[in-house]
Amino acid sequence: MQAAPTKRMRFKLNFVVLPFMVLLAVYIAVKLFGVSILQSDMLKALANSQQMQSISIGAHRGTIYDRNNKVLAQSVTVWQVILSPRDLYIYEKDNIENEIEDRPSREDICKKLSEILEVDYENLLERSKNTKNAFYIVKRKVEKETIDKLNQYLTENTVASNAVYTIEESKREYPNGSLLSTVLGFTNYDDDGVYGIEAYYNDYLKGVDGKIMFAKDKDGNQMPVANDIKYDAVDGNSIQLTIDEVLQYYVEKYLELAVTENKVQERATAIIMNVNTGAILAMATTPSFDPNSPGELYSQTDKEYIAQLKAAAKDEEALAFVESEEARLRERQWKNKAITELYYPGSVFKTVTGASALDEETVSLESTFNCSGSENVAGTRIKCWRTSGHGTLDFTQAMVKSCNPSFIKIGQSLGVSSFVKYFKAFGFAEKTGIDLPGEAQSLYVKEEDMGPVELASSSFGQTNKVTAIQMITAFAAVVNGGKLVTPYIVDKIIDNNGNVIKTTQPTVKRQVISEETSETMRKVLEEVVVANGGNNAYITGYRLAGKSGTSEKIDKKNETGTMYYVSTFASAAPANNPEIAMLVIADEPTGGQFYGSAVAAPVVSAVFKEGLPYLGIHPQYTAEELEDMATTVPYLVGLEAMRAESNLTAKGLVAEFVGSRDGVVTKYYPSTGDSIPKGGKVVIYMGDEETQKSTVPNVVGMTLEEANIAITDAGFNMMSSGGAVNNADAKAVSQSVSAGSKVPKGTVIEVKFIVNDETG
Amino acid sequence: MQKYNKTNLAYDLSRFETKEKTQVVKQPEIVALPEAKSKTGSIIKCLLCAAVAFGLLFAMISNKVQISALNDNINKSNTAILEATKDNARLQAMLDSQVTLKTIEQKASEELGLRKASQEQTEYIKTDTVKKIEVSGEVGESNFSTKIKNWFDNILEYLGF
Repeated sequence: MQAAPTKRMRFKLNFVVLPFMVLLAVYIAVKLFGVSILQSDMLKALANSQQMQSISIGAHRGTIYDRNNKVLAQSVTVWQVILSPRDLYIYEKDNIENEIEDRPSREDICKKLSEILEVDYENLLERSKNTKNAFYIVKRKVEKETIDKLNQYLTENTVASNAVYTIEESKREYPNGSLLSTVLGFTNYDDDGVYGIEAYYNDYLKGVDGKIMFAKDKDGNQMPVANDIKYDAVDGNSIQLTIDEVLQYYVEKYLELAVTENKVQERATAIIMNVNTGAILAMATTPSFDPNSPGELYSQTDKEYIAQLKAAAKDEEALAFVESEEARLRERQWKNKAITELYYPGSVFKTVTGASALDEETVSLESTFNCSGSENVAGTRIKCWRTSGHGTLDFTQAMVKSCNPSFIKIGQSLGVSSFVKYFKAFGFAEKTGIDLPGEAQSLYVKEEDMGPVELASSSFGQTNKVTAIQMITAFAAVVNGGKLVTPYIVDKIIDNNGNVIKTTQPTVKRQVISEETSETMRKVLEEVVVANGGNNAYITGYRLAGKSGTSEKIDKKNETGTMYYVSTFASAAPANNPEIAMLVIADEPTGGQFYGSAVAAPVVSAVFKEGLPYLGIHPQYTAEELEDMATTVPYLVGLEAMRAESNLTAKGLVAEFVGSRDGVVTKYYPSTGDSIPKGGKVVIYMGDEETQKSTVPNVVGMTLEEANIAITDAGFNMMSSGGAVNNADAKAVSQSVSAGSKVPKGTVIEVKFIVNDETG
Repeated sequence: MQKYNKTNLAYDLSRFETKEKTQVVKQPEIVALPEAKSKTGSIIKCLLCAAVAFGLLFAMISNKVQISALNDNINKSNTAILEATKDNARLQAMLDSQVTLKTIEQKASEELGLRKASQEQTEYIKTDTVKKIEVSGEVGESNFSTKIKNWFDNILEYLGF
């Protein structure tokens, strides 16, 4: 039989063992509580950091499209190349200890990296020696072809994957190069928008990076388990602009030509806008830049200027000046001139003054004004561009001839209060609100400071400085029925599932002038374009409304002592029911011509000639125009003389045979398909006769009649071009075949005629 | 004196002796127990249970392995799709940069010697802009033979020929 526990045993049990056990249990419980509850987050994090690894999934920035879904900007995948000096050292040490001879050394690897990635070898080798470092970025934004070469080398030479490896990142691509660059802007190295749409809509375009978290083994390799935690990357939203890529191209092409021909110093800008909705169809600044490499100067003129400065720089001060000039030009090329820079609008502003006065009924179409060449206003003599004076003009004639004294009187008829009222109503005292960054605020004389001289000069577009976007918006209001619209450039924002998350609705701010006044102004401005046989903007078959402007940069003259001009032209088409308006500004043309009608109007004409049919606005010719229209030379090779002659006669052309009329046609000038005016001569050869040549005369500066006589007398055909070709004041400014060249008789020589004054 | 025990019994000292306790041995109750099952049967059952248990365990592990393998494949495929999409975007961007309007115009004029069509090469034809509806069927009067033919055609159409 078992003996019962003794008292001593019971004592030991109750007062030694039990308390000890209780204390132990309490201790364990407290520790467990501490570890599992109080420190759980920290320990979980520690465990995760040891057992889990995460890879970032880069999100792509949203794409920017034009109105027809053509890509203007998109993100593509590129790579960073990372070198771990610490792991490279371990790899090298491993190779040495294990006597592996066919693996590359540190120097070999650095040499190869510098070759493939085009980085400095010495610098890379130096960096690779810092074995405390485990992360050194060798190069960023590396393209796929280069990465493939690199990976091939690393694989073939079994270089440790933790010594040299790549990380994906994103790069912004602009496939059209400099097209629309000042509007699009560009991104920085961290893929954030800087300038333009990229900056203004950065929050919409920028995506959210994702992450994959997975379990790793002791060597850091991913363990394939079912429960990887994945957070998908959310790509940025895409943006569709109101811009039409084709129209934009036409605008930039002809603007660039004008800048080159007229040696424009302070850049040119142009805008095309839908007058009824405010949608911007094109917006260009030339010269601009390539957003694929925004840090480089793009304009040849700027590059040459900096090169000259560098060549002449002898000391540090000069070099510092070169650097600052380079930085200034670089920043200037990024700026969107259409919205950030102010200018004196010049005579284009007369459309606003005229519309205001008509609407206020202080003048009518029948009102007359006298121009003696200048006007005396409160003791200040203000000259007309035609110093000999225009004589007596009615309202329409005053607009056609762009007479300053007439508009001084129109402005005076309005008075300061009404003038300022309409100035503000047309939106010149406030920003337009276009969805682009950096819109400038206009500089204007306030009502309380406006005296008679300020009123006079403001009436014809001097004194107050405005932006191009303000001017075209006001011009649109003059011709669209009187409505001031808000210009905009983004049509819609789309998420990466294709859902439209935001749409811009056209906004009409206010009714500025009546519909009747607007209709009257359309007729007046159409007359500006067709008067006197047509101005430089006129296009056969189209009804255009327009007004030129040439403003003097008084402020720059005060600084430098030299007068500079700003040439502008504003137009709307079709004149009877405008759909689009275009404004061109050339700042400081120094090529000889500076009038808006000579520098800016031909740009509008060239753009509309290609752009209007593209937009579905086709020409409508009168019978007379059809009669006068040029034709094309038909195919004549192999035909007998009589047949060839009759084919030419049917097209209104004249045949001139060289040598005998026997046989068949072997060659002729001009060639098949060449445009030739009706009544033109085709020189035909029936055999092996030598081609007759003649010397091209110089017709620059001649009138149409003089040039025609000179060219036809030399045995050639003349094709005239330019809107003002039928204008008696038009003179030849260029010819397609240079003077003095010897070319076959019958060759068509295209001669461009323009009117070089403020008229129109 | 009946009350006194008059016997001739001697003092029965045995009455004062410690009596031996006689143990009453209870005969064990014999309960017929059911026959014990054979040990072989229980072993088989154990083995079977063990087999089932192992089978289940194996199935679970195999299931996990397969799921992991499938997930791995899915991840690899997703990665491949992502890579292909990114490659596509990159190549599309390269292609777009080769076919800009400027490049096309330059190539057309400088290399291929093409020219843009001039205004006079385009002939505009004015068409009747009145909206009209065309009604199919007989137009104008038809003669007797045409009527017979149409009637015959309708019958054939009805018969499905």
